[in-house]
Amino acid sequence: MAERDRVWKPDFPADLPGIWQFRRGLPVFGALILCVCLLSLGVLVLVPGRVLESLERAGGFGNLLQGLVVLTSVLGMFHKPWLAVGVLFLAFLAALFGLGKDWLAPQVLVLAPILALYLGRRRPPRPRWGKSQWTLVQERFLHSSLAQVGLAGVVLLYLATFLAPYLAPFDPLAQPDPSGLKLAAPLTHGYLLGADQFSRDVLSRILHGAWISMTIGLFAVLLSASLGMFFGLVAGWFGGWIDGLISRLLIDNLLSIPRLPLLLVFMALFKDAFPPQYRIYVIILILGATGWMGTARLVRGEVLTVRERDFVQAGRALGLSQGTLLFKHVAPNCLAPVLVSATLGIGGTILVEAALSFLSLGVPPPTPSWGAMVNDGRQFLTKAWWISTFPGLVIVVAVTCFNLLGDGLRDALDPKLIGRERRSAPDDEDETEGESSETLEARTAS
Amino acid sequence: MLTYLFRRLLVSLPLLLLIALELNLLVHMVPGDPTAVFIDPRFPPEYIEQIKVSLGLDRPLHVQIAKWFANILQLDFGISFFHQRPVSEMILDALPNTLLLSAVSMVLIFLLGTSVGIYSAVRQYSWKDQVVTVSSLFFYSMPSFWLSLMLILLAAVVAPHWPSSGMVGETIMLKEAAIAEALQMGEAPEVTIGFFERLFDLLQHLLLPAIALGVAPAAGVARYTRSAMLEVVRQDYIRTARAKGVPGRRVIVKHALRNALIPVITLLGLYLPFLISGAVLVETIFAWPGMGRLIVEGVFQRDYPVILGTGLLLAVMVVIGNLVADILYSAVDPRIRYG
Repeated sequence: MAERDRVWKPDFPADLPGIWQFRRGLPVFGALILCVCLLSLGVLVLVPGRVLESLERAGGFGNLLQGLVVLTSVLGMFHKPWLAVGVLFLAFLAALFGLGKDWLAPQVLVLAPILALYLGRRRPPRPRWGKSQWTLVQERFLHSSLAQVGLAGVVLLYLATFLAPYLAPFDPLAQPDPSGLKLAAPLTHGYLLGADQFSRDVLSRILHGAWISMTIGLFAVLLSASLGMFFGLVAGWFGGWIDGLISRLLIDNLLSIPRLPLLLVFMALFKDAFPPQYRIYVIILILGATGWMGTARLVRGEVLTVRERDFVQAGRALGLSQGTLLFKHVAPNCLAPVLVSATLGIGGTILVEAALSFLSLGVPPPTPSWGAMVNDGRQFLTKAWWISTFPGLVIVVAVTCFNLLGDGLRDALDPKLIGRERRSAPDDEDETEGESSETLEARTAS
Repeated sequence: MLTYLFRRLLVSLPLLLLIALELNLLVHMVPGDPTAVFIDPRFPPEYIEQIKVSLGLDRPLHVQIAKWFANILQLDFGISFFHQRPVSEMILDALPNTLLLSAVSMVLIFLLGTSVGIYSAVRQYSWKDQVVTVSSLFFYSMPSFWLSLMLILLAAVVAPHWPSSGMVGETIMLKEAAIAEALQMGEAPEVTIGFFERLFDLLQHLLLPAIALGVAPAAGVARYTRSAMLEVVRQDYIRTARAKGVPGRRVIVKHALRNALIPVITLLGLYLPFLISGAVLVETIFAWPGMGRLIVEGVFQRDYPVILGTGLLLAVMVVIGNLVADILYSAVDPRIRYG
């Protein structure tokens, strides 16, 4: 009987796999959908002249509408799949009445894989009782509404990056009237967020600039996280002179040069050595190569504790090879702090990239990037405040979202921390004690 | 303690040497001619050759690097290509300004950060705590260059005459020029600059850059203080103090705060190098004549001696900052002893 009482009752629709289980996130996504709809309505109401004009022009307002349709339908997936199908059908209808010509490509490109994933999903085997580790993490994550806001923001930002061409009301590089529409104020002439000194639309440039920041942030952090993971694993596992070599020679050395000046020197001196179209790859490489030390230290510390655990001993006793033990058994157990520091690292990388662009050492000029836009507006600060203000605000929001997500992940992955904050467990003291002596050791050792 | 200090410094020496070597190699790896920036290419080539010889740029790489090291040991950082002034002199001009700015924003960071952190910790889970936590995260994510521009914008709207660039105001500069002129003519200067006038002017110029530089780290310190405070508040000795009937405010201020501040104080040393490197952007925007501007100008003018000198100095700052953090740690926490 006791066994039957413990039968697992899902507290969310169990037919939804993986990430779609963010049930408590739904109000947030619902609010987002509402915002997007209100925004599009606002566009229709506020700038009717612009709508008519853009309807005649390919790549104009029609694209905005299409982008909104795609966005709404993707968000709709979180709620009810039939809603997304319905929206797609509406998009078909809209297309029949001729809102733009090349409308199909983005919808199909974006929605086909998602629909395929959804329809062809494999339901996870349901445990009879108890919860898997990731289910627990998920539940803890869903406990915090701030973390969900962060997740929603990050998802939206990445959506915006590859929907930018369809969301943006204007071409980000077009200069329709450099003398007449120069520094046009927000909400005039169809510019929602105003125009810059070349009459380019700030909103469109922000949307297109998201691509630069998000891409650089993601890939640089992927690089630095894998580098940090590798060096940390090797240093912690082998110890001895290998550890000394990595910790002293590489990590301490790189940490002793402040990152921003180093990047500044490197980009300024070497920027002419590469063709402009490869600049973004150089930035990704250099940001990744200078950002891995913190992760490596974290992983090293984690490996030092994990390698003494019983399951590693058992693996040794079974005669597993060093590589199998390290990469198959130890590495996954060190992943949690890496995940957190990588999420927080994306935010930091976006900030550093923006700083580089601000000093015009980022991606070369005609390509819009947030930092460079802030710099563009610097000389028109009092005359046209919107040029600098909005891109900077978007940077802040983006970085905040990544920080919220990272904080949420940390709380979810490391329940010890939450327990410490929320309730006093009797065995707390031991942990604090152990930790302080550990840090003490680490500090005296260094 | 002294032996520990000595050993630490001894250990960090090879590290600094290594960094200096790397900086040299990096600079010499740069493609292109360093003289191209400050010499008109229309000059006759033999003249350019001559300048290169006089700057020592014609010699082989290892000789140049060895010479640089030999000079560094005599505290000679070379002569700036662009300004034709000794780099050590330029650094000595810039360093006090940067230290002033850093010190002021450091005070701001720790006063603001710890008080906000404590405020939200004692009101844990109230709406005030939520608001403070979220807004501190918002400020924490703020790029300093954007905040600087927004502050300038705000100042331009609220107080149009508030100075937003440089270190010395126009009236003071005019007076200084008048005094210098009078002295040159051999007369007693008519105008005088009062100490308070000068101080007030300086503080006016300091306010905006100090805020721009301090807000993001202050938010970080606030988050850190909050969690440290929450950890301490739940400990037994606090409960004991409460049970004994110590007033709530006194428990927080006298008993909890002392222990909560231990981890926060170590941040102090870690922020030292950050403030100098983080000031790069803020100093450029506010035209503050400090290290950050020196670095940026040196980088854009390809002024190798300046880049090398400031780079080495930054590395030294980091090493010292780490050392300060460790010493502070042992000073506030008697359980930690270095021998």
